[in-house]
Amino acid sequence: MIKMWQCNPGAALAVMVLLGIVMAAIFAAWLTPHDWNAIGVTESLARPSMRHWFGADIFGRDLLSRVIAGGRYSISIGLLTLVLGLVSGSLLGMVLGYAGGRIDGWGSRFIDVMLGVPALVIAVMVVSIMGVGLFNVALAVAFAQLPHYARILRSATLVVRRRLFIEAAVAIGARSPSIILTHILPNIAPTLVVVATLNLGEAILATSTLSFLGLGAQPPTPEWGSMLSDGQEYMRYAPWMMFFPGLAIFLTVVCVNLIGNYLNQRLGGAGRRA
Amino acid sequence: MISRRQSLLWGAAALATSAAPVRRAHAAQGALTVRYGSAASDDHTYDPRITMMGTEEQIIVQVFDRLVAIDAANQVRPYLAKSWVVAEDFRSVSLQLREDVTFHDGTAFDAAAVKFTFDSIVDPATGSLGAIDVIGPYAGSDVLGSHTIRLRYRAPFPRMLSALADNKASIVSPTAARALGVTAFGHAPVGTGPFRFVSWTQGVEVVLERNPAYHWAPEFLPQQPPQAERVVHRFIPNTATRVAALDAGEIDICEQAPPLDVRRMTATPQYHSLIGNSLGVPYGFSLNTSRGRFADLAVRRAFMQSINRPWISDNLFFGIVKPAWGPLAASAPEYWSGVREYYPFDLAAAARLLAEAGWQPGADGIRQKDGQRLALFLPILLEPRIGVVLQADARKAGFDLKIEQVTHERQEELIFANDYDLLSLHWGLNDASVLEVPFLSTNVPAPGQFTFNWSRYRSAALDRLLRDAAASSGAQRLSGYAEIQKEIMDQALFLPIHEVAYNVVYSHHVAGLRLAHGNSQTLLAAATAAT
Repeated sequence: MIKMWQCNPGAALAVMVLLGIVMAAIFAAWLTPHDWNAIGVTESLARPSMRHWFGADIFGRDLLSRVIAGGRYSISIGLLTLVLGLVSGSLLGMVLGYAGGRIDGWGSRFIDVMLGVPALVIAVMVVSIMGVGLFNVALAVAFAQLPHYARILRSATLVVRRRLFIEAAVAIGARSPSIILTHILPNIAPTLVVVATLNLGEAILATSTLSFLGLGAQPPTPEWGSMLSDGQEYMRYAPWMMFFPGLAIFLTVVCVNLIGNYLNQRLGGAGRRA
Repeated sequence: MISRRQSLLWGAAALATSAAPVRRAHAAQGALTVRYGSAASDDHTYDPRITMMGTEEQIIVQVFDRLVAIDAANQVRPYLAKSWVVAEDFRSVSLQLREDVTFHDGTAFDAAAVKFTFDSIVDPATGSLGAIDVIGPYAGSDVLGSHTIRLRYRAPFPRMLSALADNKASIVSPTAARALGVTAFGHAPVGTGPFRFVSWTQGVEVVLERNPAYHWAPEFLPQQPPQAERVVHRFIPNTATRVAALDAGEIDICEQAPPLDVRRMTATPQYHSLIGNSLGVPYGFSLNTSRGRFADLAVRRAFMQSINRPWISDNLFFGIVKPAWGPLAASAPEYWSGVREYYPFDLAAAARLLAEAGWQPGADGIRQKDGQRLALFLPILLEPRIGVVLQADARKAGFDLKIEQVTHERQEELIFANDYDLLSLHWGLNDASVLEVPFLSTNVPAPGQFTFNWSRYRSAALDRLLRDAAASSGAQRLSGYAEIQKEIMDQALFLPIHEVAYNVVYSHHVAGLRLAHGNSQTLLAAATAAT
């Protein structure tokens, strides 16, 4: 940690802030000053004050409590999305990259087509088929991000596949699944880690976006995206309703990206260039 | 004579005006253009015979006239009809029409036009959505002279005059309607009203211009052409954008401004507002009596007592929207004030009712009975914010209310599957017979029949009360509807939440606005430039 602070203070700060946000979310039940779903705790649209640091929403709910508790949903759904997308995407990428030939040709064209459609559009489509709700949003975002992972992991696999030890493994008669899991996966792991952290922020943003559109979290769940959307109507009179959930999303995504950059430098992975 | 207070107001207005010279420009040149910001994203038709959208009626009331008018005191007044005689059996009405009225296309208004209008409403080829229910059991018309007509009804129809005053019973030009056909007429309506239709740019704006020949308004309006040269009706569906457009002086009238904006803007001398309680069924929830927890009357009553309606009015609407207590708008003549006694917010009473019904508090605060939780499902379409309050309030009484924000399609699916415990409902109609829509047995939804009795309550007694009340008049009608409202409240079929208010906030450069009959549109015929 100290070494990290010396060579990349930004990333070190990011780790601490993110840790703070995650801890607050985990221990929300003890940390929040009020029940985050209780209405009429104070007057509606109350300004930020000593008693209510972040003010209150139209229902008179304490916003500080809701922002803290909101991390539970926003971050965990972001993580779930990441895991789902990464596992399925990297599996697809590795198989295509390793198999090569016609399978790779068709698979890659399919990925190209998927990449041509904006991820948000795919996600909205999936949610409209499966119905609203946080879990469905996680599935939808994961599905939308899948081609992205598949493409990156495919190219990483292509590089590794040409290496001599793969040929050696083939020569001694190892089966393809075993080669993929025991030889290729460990070698592309650094790429995987970097891609994962860089995309976590994006996953959190995407889930928040869908909740903002009313497709994700259902009342009274204090998800950041849906809180942002609730505040829209009162922006003129109670900007704190949008400011604090927005700040939470912003901080989380920035922190995750800083850490991702740091890992990218350290592990020298072939992360996305964007 | 101008009082001291008024003159002070004028002074303040003058000051404000000089501070905003740009805004004043369009009004000062004599040719007043009234710019109205509509909450609709677009409209479908301006054919009064077809429409079922209140937002479309905002154009219809300017372009068309009705046979009779209803004034602010609910009195029927002459309009296109000079006089009338209602038959004693309420099965027909004879009307003497004005002879000096012409349509915008130059053709004369006469008895044949009235006959054409009503005959085409009941013609299935027209595809009427709203007017068909408004005009009642219309059987046909007898043209007794060029300007004398008798309308006949299949059954006694005591409220025929209020039906004829409805915006959807506007008289259309037979010549134009025949020439254009149903769809095209809805896009280029021709009536006798104070404004002529000019153009409609889909999703952007509708333009109307003054009808220079107009002098046949009802007696409570000026008997002359409108002062406003043009009406520009802009579609601005986003509420914040619409309010901002009024603030920026891009429109003169903003409909359906949020309560906070109404409060802020009308606190300054630059803006005034008109607020009317729409007639019909107020916003509330139909409780599904056919399944689950709400099959038990005691549970329905307990639920209603656990909701704090004045709190909603004060905190979500800042007092601008009033709480509703019964299934009929408080502004309706048939409103029964007895509903005020029903189901006040009382958690202790709710707890008592639930305990008596066998629901005991569980470990997590949710009540239980025989191992089952007191769980309810609310798919919410209208005003999802209210659902949040219901959820939090009902929880205190031990209900676990699950909310899903739904689309029209999803709600329809759940209705057909009878998979809900309560549903949000509001129904605007200028007559107490609106109660038939959500409470008549025949309106319980069934496969292939999308109807609105979402409490799914079937009672021959209530059906008879509804039919009898609709066919009666005078004191009998009032007592009939009072009994119906009492029955609906006794059975706890509908949880009324708030009155549905229509509002417009308008610039102080405009004066002379008034609400149309039904309090859901603004009449622009008497609009003037305030100087």
